[in-house]
Amino acid sequence: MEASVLSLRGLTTVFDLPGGPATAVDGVDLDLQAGETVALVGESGSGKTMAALSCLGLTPPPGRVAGGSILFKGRELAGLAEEEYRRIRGRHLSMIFQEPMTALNPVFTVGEQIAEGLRLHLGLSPREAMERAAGLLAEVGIPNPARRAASYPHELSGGMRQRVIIAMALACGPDAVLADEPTTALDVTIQAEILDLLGRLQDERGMAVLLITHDLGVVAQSARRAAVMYAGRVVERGAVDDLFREPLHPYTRGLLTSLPRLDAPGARLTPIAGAVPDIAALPSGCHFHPRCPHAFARCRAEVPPAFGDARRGARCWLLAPGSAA
Amino acid sequence: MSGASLLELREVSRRYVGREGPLGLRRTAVQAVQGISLGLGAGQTLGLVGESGCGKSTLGRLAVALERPDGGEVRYRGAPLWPDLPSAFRREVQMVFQDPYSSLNPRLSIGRIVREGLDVHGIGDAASRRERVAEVLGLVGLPPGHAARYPHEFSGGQRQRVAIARCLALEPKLIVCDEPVSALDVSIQAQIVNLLRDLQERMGLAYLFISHDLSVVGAICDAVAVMYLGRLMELAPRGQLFKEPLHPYTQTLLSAVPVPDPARARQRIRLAGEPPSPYAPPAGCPFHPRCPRAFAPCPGEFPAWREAAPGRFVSCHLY
Repeated sequence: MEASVLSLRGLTTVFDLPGGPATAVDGVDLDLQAGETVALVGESGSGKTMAALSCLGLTPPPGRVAGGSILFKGRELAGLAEEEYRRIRGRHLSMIFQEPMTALNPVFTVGEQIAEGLRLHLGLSPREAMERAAGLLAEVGIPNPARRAASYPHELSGGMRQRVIIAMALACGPDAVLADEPTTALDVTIQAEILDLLGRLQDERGMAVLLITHDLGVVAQSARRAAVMYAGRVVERGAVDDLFREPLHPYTRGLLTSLPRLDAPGARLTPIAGAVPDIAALPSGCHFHPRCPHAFARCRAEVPPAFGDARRGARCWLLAPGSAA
Repeated sequence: MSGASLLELREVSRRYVGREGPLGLRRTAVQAVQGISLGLGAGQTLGLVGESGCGKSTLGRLAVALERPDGGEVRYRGAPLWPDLPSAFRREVQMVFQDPYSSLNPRLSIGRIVREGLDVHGIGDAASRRERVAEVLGLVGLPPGHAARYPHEFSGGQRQRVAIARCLALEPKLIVCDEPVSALDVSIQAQIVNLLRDLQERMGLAYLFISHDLSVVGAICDAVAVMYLGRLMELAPRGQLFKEPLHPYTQTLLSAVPVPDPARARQRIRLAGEPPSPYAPPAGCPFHPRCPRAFAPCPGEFPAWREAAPGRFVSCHLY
């Protein structure tokens, strides 16, 4: 097996709330190898975004990385000083944010915003940086890049802004990109173009992409491997083909049966009962047990370990050796 | 979608005028909806799909008389909505909005929110209203005891149930749902879609279901209308629209939806250029600059709305 670019072991992020600590990310293990796309799937509040922010040392207060390891190209990032982080963030490890409206600064031109990272990290002169910025805009498919570099964010459409954000994330040639719902705010036809673009740039540059999304359609079309998160924990991991064909965890199965499908319009959906729990008041044992159709005594009492191995497995007591299922 | 129409739109248009530029001196106009004709029968569900800015929400607002058309007319049970609303319209036609966090008054209890329509329309006395509130909360799957609680105590999915209960209290015939599940997680989305279907079966409701999500529309609608830049491009029964879309825009839209099946590599139709601004829509068919099948007549005039096959309508020079 190839060495991972990014490797999380037991990553735990805690929010110190007035009512007591709340665990947003609970012992997450994840490996991301050069040139591959791994999807991190989950619904709102599953901790997928917080896991990514933790990797970048951007956990918003009162949140903090409380345990585990974040190995990036063999270097431990957990507990790194902010000053050190700044040399890595945006240079070697970068992030694509969801909301193209708020991720850009409205008072600077998009060229200046792309150039900023190039000047800081690569020491380019303002002029070189602006030239490089225009080149990056061309690379992400923006017509008239030299002119567009002088545009302000409000002059661009949502799809164009998302391309600018991708150009910013890629500017310094990072080894890994964490893409947080990069297409969620976009119309489907634009979404398709942005996913194509990400795939093409990844092939050309050989970078690793962690694709954070709630959309199983996007996962199926864009990633080879995926990890499914629920209430802070990775509950299932595997090759995307296996995950869709033979989901191991009842939560993954529930997500798939909840999805309306274009190829079977009108079919009755089978939702998951109940609602996603509040991280400040998580159920005992397996956090999914109150919504799980197969829950039994052990699920309420004990946290299931990750059965299987690092590539395929799930945290579910049904998979325990000797389990009735 | 003929027969006894509950709601009928005839050549409906709506334009918005705003000001732009330095000191707001430049007047700009958006033709949000242009020349749209549609009908919806009792107990049916019509899906209205399109990308952002296509005018689908404006059309929904025209249907519930929150907006007045500046061309054409909207009729309910045969009677025009303007200048005076047909009696019972405000009771029989209800709306569910997209964002369950802003569509419920945070200062009112769930019971008050659901009861408000009964108060406004003067239906029943205090006791029967209380009974009705408990009844409709039950219909949407909320315990009647929740009536005393406030919106902040509920999750997004539960709030959307409250919004639906508020509609049901008035025994509506038609509910206009504007992106009712878009703000919800998939597992909750499916609960609400199933609830809407069950309620329809039980109470014979008609829905005008507005959504950008074609898969969700497919799960609930009998027929689907596709809009692009204020125009209606295609209307067809659900099965036919998904299996064999006629309009190149519908084909493009369907091919762009990511299918949750890794075994199915999709042949996507690639579009040229950016979506045009609604402030300056292209002449002729507004889709022609990006259409893979555009030919001579397309930039010239907007294609007539015609029945290309039984029950299938399209605005495209190809047909």
